[in-house]
Amino acid sequence: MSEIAIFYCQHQKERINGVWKMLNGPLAPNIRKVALPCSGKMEVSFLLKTLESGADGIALLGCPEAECHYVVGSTRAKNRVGYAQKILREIGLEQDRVQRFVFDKQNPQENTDSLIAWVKKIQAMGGWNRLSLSNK
Amino acid sequence: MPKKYHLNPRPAPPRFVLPGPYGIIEGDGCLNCANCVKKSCVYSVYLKRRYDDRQMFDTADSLCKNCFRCVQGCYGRVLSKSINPEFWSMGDDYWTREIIASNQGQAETGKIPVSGGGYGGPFCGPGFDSMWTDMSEIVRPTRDGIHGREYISTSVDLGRIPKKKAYHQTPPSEESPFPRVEASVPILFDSLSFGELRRLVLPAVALAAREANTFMILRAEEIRDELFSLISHLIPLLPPGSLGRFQPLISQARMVQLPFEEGIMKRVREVKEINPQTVVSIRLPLTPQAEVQVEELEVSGAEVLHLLADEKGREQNSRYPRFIKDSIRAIHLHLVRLGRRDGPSLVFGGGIAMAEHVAKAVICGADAVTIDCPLLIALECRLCGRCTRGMSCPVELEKSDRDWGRQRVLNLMAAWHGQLLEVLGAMGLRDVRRLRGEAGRAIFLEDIEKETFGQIFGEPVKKLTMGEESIHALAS
Repeated sequence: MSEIAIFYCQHQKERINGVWKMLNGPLAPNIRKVALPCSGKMEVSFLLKTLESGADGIALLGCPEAECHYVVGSTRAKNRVGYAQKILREIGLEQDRVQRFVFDKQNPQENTDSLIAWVKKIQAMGGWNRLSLSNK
Repeated sequence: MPKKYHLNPRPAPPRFVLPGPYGIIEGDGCLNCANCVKKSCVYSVYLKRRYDDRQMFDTADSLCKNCFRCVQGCYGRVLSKSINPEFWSMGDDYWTREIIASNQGQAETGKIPVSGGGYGGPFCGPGFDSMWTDMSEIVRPTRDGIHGREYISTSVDLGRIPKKKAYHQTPPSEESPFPRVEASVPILFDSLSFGELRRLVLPAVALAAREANTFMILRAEEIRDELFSLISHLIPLLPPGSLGRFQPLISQARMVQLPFEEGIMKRVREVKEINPQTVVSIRLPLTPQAEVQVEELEVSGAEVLHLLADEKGREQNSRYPRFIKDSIRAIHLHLVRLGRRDGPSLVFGGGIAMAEHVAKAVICGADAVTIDCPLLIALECRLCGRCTRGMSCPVELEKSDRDWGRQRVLNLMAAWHGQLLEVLGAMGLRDVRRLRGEAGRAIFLEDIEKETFGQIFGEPVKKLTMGEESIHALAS
């Protein structure tokens, strides 16, 4: 079963707890959630090292850019995830393995659905083959 | 002069880095200037940092001492700090993240924690924080008394003291009718009360108990094979029912424990028939009825009573539970009033989270205390409770090395012992046995409040009332 890491901004704690209940069951045992002070704390190198250490998919949950408590934290997170996705494309991995999700107040159900759909997608994708990557 | 009791602390680094209280957030816009604050960090945090892929966090947050030099010094204003939610989500209202972090630090180094920046917290609070210890005897560097030429004993004797009789009434017997055991620190280890993982760490904790010359309480069924060789420092907790199969244990143990039940003294006598030289302690919950129970058991001839509050130090089976310090005081004073305090030894457990709690419990009237959660914290447990729900341990307690675990527990004991010496030295006491029930060595918040505000809010203070009476008498 795929290993998934969900990093989330501390200000989204309640939302992630709500989603966590929905993820409980067959999906949850291999999903790990880690709280961050701000989604802008996550750096590109940390995203890649998490993948390197065995994660098959990484989700970064943050606030909308206009509502970031650190003003520019969400913007940074967006740029960094974009940069990490570019690196993944270059090395021949699916860029969706690193994905950013924004939880806003207007569309709670939509946000939750998109996260659950992504989790299922990563589960379907399975683990990435490290050997094939090293041969490229 | 006897050789000093000394524990040998050695560094035992944690396997999993504990999250730091604050996180460094690094923004964009680095100027690539030559005066990078990351290079000039006095603690070399940015050089030592790495990404901990097991816990998925930046170790810089744990290494950082929060001096804010980097935040203030960066020309590009790239760095900022925020609270680290992983740290702040640890523990609960009693076993706070600070207690967990402090005990883990002590288990790592074996040294007394020194904040260096003075005490920044509140001056009183709930529980043990509502009493202050008297440090009025600090008239010279305490080091002289503690680590220098003077000897401060932290040993306690557990067992019953026979009643004093006139010399002509009883001829001096060669052997005391009541056996006693000595522990070098007034801290016993209680049986660890968490999930299945406990079995894997029991030998490490038991070895530490032997090295610290104290005792560990263990369920009798669990004392097998290797643990049996440590029986001299184990207290088998015997289950209800026949004692026959535990005869080898009872005959070799210096102290055994029985859970309280109706007709407990009959069971005590059964144990004594197997081994008259073993001390029998009775384990009972700390409830509002404990004073009466303790009195009855004292009259019946109990040797050691082990009273257990819940893990947060509250009385059990009570709608309005008292805190353990108040219960200890009440039970101690009840026996003192009856003139029976020197009968059984009283050992209390539950809610002892820090070294200062040991001294405070002894001041309130305990002979010794038992600890449980601090032992787990020494083994890097973060009290998340996942194991009790059948989930995996985030710090992989099951993979911990035995020697490492033993050293961590020993380090914690060394740090607590050092702090006990500090308290005793600052009080001018040379023996922890003299601290028992020395309530004059402490100030209790409730007493202070009564004296200060009692008059205003309607409760007359006895001392002042007497003064007024005498004034009225003089005036008339």
